[in-house]
Amino acid sequence: MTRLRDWSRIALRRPLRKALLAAGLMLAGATSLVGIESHGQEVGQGMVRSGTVGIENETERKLFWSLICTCGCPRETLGTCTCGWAHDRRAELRAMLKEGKSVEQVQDAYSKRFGTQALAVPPSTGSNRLLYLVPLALIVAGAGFVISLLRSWSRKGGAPAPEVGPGSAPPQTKPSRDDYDDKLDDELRRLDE
Amino acid sequence: MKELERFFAEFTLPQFGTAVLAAILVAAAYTFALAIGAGTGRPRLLQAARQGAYGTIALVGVAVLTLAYAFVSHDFRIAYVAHYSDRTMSVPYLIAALWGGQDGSLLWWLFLTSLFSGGCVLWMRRRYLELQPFVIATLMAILGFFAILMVFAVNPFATSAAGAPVDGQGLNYQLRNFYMIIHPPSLYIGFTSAAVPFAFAVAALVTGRLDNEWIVAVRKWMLFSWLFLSIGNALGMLWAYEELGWGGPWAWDPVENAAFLPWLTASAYVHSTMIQERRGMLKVWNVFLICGTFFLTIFGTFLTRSGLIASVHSFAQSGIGIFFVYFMAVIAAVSIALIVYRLPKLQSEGSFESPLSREAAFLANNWGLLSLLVFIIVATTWPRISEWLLERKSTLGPTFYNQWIPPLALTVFGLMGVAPLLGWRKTSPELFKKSFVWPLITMGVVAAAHLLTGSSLLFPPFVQVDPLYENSLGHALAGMARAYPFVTVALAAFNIAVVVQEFARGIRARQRTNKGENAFEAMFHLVAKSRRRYGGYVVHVGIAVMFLGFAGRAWGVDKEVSLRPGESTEIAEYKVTYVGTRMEVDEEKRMVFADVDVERNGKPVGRISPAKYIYKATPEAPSTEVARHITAKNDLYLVIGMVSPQSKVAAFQMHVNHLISFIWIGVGILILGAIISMWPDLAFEESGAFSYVRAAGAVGTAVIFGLLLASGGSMAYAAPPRVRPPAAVAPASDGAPASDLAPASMAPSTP
Repeated sequence: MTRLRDWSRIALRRPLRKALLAAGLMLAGATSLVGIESHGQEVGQGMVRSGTVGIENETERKLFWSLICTCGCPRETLGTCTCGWAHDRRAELRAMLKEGKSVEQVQDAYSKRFGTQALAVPPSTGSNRLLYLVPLALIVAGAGFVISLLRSWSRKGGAPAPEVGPGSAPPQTKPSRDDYDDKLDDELRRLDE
Repeated sequence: MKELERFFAEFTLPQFGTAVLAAILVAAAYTFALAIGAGTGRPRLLQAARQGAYGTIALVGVAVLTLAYAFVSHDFRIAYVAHYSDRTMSVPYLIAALWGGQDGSLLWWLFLTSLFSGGCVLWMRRRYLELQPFVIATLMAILGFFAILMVFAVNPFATSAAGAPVDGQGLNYQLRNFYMIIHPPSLYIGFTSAAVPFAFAVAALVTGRLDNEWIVAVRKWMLFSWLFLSIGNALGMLWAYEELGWGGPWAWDPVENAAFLPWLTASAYVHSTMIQERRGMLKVWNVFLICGTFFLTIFGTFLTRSGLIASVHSFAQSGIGIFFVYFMAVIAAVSIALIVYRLPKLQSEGSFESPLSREAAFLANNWGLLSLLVFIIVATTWPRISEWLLERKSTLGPTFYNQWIPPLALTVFGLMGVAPLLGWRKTSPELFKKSFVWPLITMGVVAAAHLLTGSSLLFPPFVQVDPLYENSLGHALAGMARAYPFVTVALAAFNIAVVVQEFARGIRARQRTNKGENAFEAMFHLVAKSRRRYGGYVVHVGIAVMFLGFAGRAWGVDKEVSLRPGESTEIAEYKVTYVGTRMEVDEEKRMVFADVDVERNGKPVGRISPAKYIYKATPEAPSTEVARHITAKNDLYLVIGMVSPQSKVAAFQMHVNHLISFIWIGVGILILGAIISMWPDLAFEESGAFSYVRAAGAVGTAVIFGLLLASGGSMAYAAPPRVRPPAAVAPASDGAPASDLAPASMAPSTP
C-alpha cells in the first residue's frame, strides 16, 4: 500500500508531467504514420536470377551500376540484375553509348524515362541533398554533444566534488570480478614506470 | 452431452492451434496483471506471476510444437503449411519452413522470446526481487503483442477457404539450403534476447533502483544478444555470398541494414556499460542504448514484414505493418517517458578528468557507432522519406553506401585501436608515449611496406574510384575513397599491434608476480582471470581481420564474358577455360553445369562447375549455383548466366574477390573472443541458471561455428580437382537429347 501511495505522490511531481508529455507527443507522431500501406512481395521473389549480365567495358560498368532496374526486381542495379528486362535495357544503353553519348547523358535519358527512382544514387541537387545533410548534421550535433558533455563533467570534477581521489576505490560497490581488472591495471602501470 | 462429444469430434488441429494462440494472449495478459500487482504493493503475487510466466511460455511451446507437428504430418488444411511445404521435403526443411514465411516466423519469434523470458525468470529466482515484477510484466507485454498479432492478423493456423490441397506448394528452392536452417534462428536469437535487457531497463526505471545491480545483471544478456546478432549477420553474408551469386557478401539491402542496426547499438552498449560500472557515469545513455537496441529489433522486424521498403527479403503482403507501428510507438513512448521521469536519479556520479582517458575514448566510440546508425537509418528509409516529404521517388543502391559509410566506419575502426591504450580517468604523458610507440611503429612499417610492394602484389594502396556526383562533393568523396585500402591496412596493423602489445604486457606483469610461469601458462591464467577484457581484445582482432576482408573489395576484378566450349579467358592471375556443359537430373530438378578448368599462375588447379538448377515445381525461376576456387589470397567466383542450347556458348560472370576469406576468418576470431568473454565462470557469484544458459550459448555457438567450418569446404568445391562431381544422377540423364538442355530458363526470363 505504501508503494501505491508513493506512486500517487510521485505522480504530482514535475518529471511525470514531462514524461506524459513526451509519451503523448510520441503517440501523436505515431498516428501520423497510420497511412502507411504495405506493398511487399513474396519471399525470395527478388532472388530469381535466370539471365546473365553482359558488361563489355568499364564505361558500361560505371553506367549500369548507377542505374536501377525498374522491372520490379527490388533495388538491383542494371549491373547486377539478371532479369530479361534489364538485359534489354543494357542493350539499349549500350547502343546509346555507341552513338557517342556520355555516361551522364545516358543517365539523364534513363531517369527521364523511368523516373528519379531509376538512379542508384539520388543526384546531389536541391532537396535531395537532405539525404546526406540530415545525417551529417546529426553526426556533427552528436560530436558537439559529446564534447559539451565532457566539458560539463570536467567542470564538475574541478569543483570539490564528493568524488574520491584517483587510484582509490570507485564510489560504488562492484562485483569482485572487476577488482582483478583494477589490480591488473595497477600492475601494468607499475610495470611501465 | 452429445453436443460436447460432437464438439470434440470436430475439434481439428487448426482449431486447436488457434485456441492455443488465444490462450497465450489470455495467459500473458493475466500474468501481466499479476506482475503489476506484485510490483505495486502485493508482493505475494510475485510467485503467482512467475508461475503465470512459465505457463504462458509453456503454451507458446505447445503452439510451436503443434505447428511443427502439422508440418511433419503434412496437414495441408493449414494454409501456411500448404504454402511452405510439400510431401517431398525432408524433416530439417520441414522444420525450417516454420520460419520460412511471414506467419510462422512470427510464431518462431514469439517462441524464442518466450524461451529467453523463461530463462530469465528461472535465472532471477530469489534475486532482484524488487525488479522481478516489472521484468515479468514487460516480457509478458512483449509476448502479448505477438499473441495479438497472431490472433488478429497473421494466424499461422488459419485454414484456407478452398480446403486442404493434395500437396503443398513447397518451400521456395532459394531457401532450401543449409543457411536457411541456421541463419534465421541465430539472427532471431540475437533479436529476441535483446528483450531481456529491455525488460530489466524498464523495471529499473519504474522502480527507481538504478544502481549497479541491474546493469551488471543485464550485461551478460546483452553480450549474448550481441554475439548472436554478429553470428546471424555473418551467416547472412555467407549465404548471400555463396548462394545468391551477387559476387559479394553485403549489398546494403534494407533488411541487411535492419539487422545491422541493433548490432551497432549493442556494440556501443557493451563499451559504455563499462563506464557506468566503473565510474557511475553515462547512466541515461546506457538505458537509452538498451531501449534503443530493443526498439531497433522491432523496427527491423517491421521493415522486413511491412514491405515498407523494397528488399530481397520482403515477406508476403500483409497488413501487419500498422500493428508494428503502434507497438514501436508504445515502446518509444514508454522508454522515453520513463527515462525523462527518472532523469533526476540518473545523474552521473563520477567526473571526467582528461580527454586522454578510456572514458573519453569510449564516448567517442559510441558517437562513431551511433553516427553510423543515424546514417544507415536515414539512408534505408530515404525512399519513403523522399516520397512522403519531397514527392519524389528514389532508390539507394549499394554504390551510395560504399562511398559514404567507409569514412565513418574507419573512424570507429581507428578509435577501436586507441581506446585500449588509454587508462581509466587519465593517461600520464609518459605512459601515453610508451603505449603508443610500438603500435605506431608497426603501423608505419606495414604502411610503408604496403606503399612499396602493394602494387606489385596487385594490392595497390590507392585505387581508382568513380565519383558519385559530378561536383566537388563527389570528387572529394571519391578522392578519399581512393585511399581507403591503404588506410584500412594501416589501421588493421595498428589494431592488431595494440592487442598483441596488451597481451604481452599482461603476460609480463603476471610473470613478474608469479615467478616460474611460462608465457603460455601466464597467458592462460591472464585470460582466465580477466576474460571479459581479453575476450574483448580478441573480438577486436576479429574485427580488424574482417576489415581487411572488406578492403579486399577495392581490389576486386570483375569480368563478364561469353565463351564457346574450348575457349579461355584470363582474369587476374587466373586462366579460365570453358570445357562444356553437362546435365544431371534428380527427382526435383535438372542441373545444368558448365565445367570450367582453372589455371592459376600457369598451373592447373582444378575444375569448378557453376550451375543452374531448374526445378520441376518452378521452372520459371531457376537457381544459380556459384562455383568458387578458394585460396587465402582470393576467391575466383564464377556464376553462369545463359547457355545457348545449340552452340553451347555460355555467358559467365567472373569475380576475383581478394581477401574475402579474411571476413570469414575474422568472424571466427570474433566468435572466439565473444565466447572467451562469455564462458561461464564457476565462481560463486555466477552459479545459477544463467551459467547454464551461457554454457548452452557458448556450446551452441561452437557447434554452429564448427558446422560452418565443416560445411564450408564441402560446399565450396562441388568436386575434387579433375574429377567429375559424383552428384546424385538419375540414369536417364546420360545421353539425354540435346534439346533437353534448352529449358525455358536458359533464355532470360520475361519480366
